[in-house]
Amino acid sequence: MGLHNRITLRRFLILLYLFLSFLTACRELCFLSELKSGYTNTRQMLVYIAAAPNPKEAALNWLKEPPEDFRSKAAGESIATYGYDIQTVTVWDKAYHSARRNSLILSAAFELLLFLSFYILYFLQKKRQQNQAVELEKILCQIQDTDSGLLHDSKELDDILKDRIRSLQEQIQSDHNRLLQEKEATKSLVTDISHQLKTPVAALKTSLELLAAEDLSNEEKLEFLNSCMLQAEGLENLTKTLVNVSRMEKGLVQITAKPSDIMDTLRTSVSRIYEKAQKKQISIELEDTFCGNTQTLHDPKWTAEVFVNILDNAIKYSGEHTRISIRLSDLVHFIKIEFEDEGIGIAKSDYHKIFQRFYRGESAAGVEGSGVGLYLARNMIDKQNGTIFVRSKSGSKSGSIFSIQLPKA
Amino acid sequence: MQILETKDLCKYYGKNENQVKAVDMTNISVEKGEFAAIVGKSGSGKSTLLHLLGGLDYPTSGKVLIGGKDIFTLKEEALAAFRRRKIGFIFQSYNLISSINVWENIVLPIGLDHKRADTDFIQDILNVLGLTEKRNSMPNTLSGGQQQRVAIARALASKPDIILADEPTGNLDSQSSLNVMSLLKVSVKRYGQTLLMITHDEELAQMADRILIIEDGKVVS
Repeated sequence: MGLHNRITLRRFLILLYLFLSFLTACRELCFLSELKSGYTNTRQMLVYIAAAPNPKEAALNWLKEPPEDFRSKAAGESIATYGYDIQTVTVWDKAYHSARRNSLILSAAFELLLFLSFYILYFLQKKRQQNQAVELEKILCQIQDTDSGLLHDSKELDDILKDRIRSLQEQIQSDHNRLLQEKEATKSLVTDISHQLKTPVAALKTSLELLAAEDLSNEEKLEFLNSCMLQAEGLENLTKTLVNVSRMEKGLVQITAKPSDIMDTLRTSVSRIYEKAQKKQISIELEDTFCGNTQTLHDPKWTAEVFVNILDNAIKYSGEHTRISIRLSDLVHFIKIEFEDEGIGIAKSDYHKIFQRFYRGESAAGVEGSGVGLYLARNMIDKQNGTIFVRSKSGSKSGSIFSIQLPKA
Repeated sequence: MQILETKDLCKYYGKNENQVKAVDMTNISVEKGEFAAIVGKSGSGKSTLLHLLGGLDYPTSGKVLIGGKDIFTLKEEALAAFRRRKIGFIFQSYNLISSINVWENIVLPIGLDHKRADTDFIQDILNVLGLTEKRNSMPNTLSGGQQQRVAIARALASKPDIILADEPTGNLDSQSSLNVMSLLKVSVKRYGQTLLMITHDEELAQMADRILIIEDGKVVS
């Protein structure tokens, strides 16, 4: 029973009490009038018999059947000759008044009892509600103090209220935890970034130091300068990616999904890494077997980034003269885009891990990369209400197949 | 805040040599809002674990704590009410009621709790799951994927704290599975619920935030 119902219950109690009192009063009045008419009839009967020419006969006849006209005035008048008035017969009055008084006292007593019972019920209800309010206040104070434990049992509150409060507590607790987690996450992000930058910066520094210190031939100098250039480029890429990661973590990246043609986005991505693929003689094939609407809800800019990342990985981890195929297929509410390469593949145990920040599989150790690409990719796809997962090719061929599902527009 | 936690949970059948340890000293914990997948071969104890987590079965020993409350200390009626309000179930075999239509199937658990259904919210769920046109259809006119989506809507409708799904895509072909899984992930994220899903498909499991591998009744990671 909710609080609302409790207030209605009190009103109901009051109405019920008034109704029962009313009934009692009515009953009392009926009884009293019955009493009065009973006495009056008896008196009139006696008067009739007394006034009859043969009282004994009249009485016996009465027993058989009371006459209809016993209230006639004639009877009343002849009694008056004996000195009695039909209206005032004190003997009867005493009995009558006594009966009347008893009845009224009984009624009053009953009424009092009724009143007391209802008052007690009403009072108990009110007290219950008060207790509930007090308990509620206590709990709300407890909730503010977030270090306290979860509400386990409260006698006064009803179940539904308890559930709501518990949910509220859980929510506050989880918000609190989330804030703590975010703080931790920021700390770890900062640590990770500084860690990632250390190595290339150190390498660059060493190269430059050597360049400055040693006496080198022009050829050697050129070699070192090239190596420095490479390191600098690597640093540039790394910082770009890390900036993206930070932006993503802090929620600064605005991903606006709107209906656009996924084929356009795919073509953009392919054209961006085409040259790189060319260098390794890797062919990229976009299978055009899909016949259907290619409009999906996605952010062209960021989804292109995701595609570029996956294609980049495919190129990086594949040997020369291999093929990368891109396929589209229809899932009722999504469009599936598959990227299949003939590269080194990914171990089953790593499937889930590769999407974590800064994770790189064991087999990827020799290849240049920062391990943030897929993490970002997953994040971006998630934000567009899509899904991404990977599987390895079965059978003798090695390679990975990345599947991305994006919602249809 | 752990929305779900188990402490040394055990479910043993039989005695001595014939004893089968379906769930053996399992300790897991799930955070609020997390999407966790439980992966394992058949017979590894996944379904038993899920049934224990949802209070559908009693353990031999150990505790299951939902929101910090040991659910097996509740009496049967209280446990049923708790289940109805706090947990949503999705089964492999949909378990829709064939004599009532889609909308009625979805709001049935709410009605059993004597509450009024939030029509706008449920309409939103229908939109997200792509069931708007099928609102008044009977279950036997729907495809497997559509039926499972109705089951998902039903689980979401009462806004439970946790959703337990036992091989939700088990009876669906690979295309529908992927579709249903993606939709499930989207809706759970949208409504901020915690999802614990059993699957034997390791590819689909990747969509989860965390994977728990279960072997011979024990959770190994």
